Amino acid sequence: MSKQERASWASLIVEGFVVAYYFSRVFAMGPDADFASAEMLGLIIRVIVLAIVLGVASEIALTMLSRNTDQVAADERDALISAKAHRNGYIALSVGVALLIGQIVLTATVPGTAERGMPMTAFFTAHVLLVLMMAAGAVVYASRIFYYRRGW
Amino acid sequence: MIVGTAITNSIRKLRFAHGEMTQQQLADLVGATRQTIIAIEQAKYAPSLELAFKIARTFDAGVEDVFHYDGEAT
Repeated sequence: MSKQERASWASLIVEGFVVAYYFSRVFAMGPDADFASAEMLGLIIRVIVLAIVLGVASEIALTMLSRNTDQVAADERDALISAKAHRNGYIALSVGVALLIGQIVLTATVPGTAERGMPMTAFFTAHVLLVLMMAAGAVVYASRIFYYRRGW
Repeated sequence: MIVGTAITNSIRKLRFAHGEMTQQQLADLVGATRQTIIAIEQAKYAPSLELAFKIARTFDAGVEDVFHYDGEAT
């Protein structure tokens, strides 16, 4: 397994842990959670800090434990796999944002939609965008692993 | 699903013929990773023209002596 593939696995695991932490805290707040509360804002900040800290820690751990003897950290194949993975992540994020925009427009224009669906407040939208970003990140890391396992 | 490329090669044979060169040694000589050399040898990845030339010159051979085009990807 190359250093790049190990890094992708580590990033995917960190992403999964951060997403699990986020949803565990959100569900613990119950269905009537106030998305504009200081508690929610604190949760967003903690999730971002956790993602950065765990990301850096995993990178350091991988470097220290690596027995990789390659003189190059990444070559043309790594660059191509990274490009394809980021393309997939971009597509996933674009689809999510397009759906979110559709939901916002529906809520604003179709009478009764706001009462039937989720409250499209600014803070709720910020949470949805955060989840979309995490999902897109997971798509990037999973895509990298898929292409490395397949060979290309 | 196994995905391959239409370009096969004689790299493994050439490595053994050149002092039993390892994949790591070849990777270091051409500026690639060992995993890329493995993927090329298994015809899972087609190298760029630049990398193909570097590999061929490592064995003092022409590109078409090292790489072979079958015409249809598997």
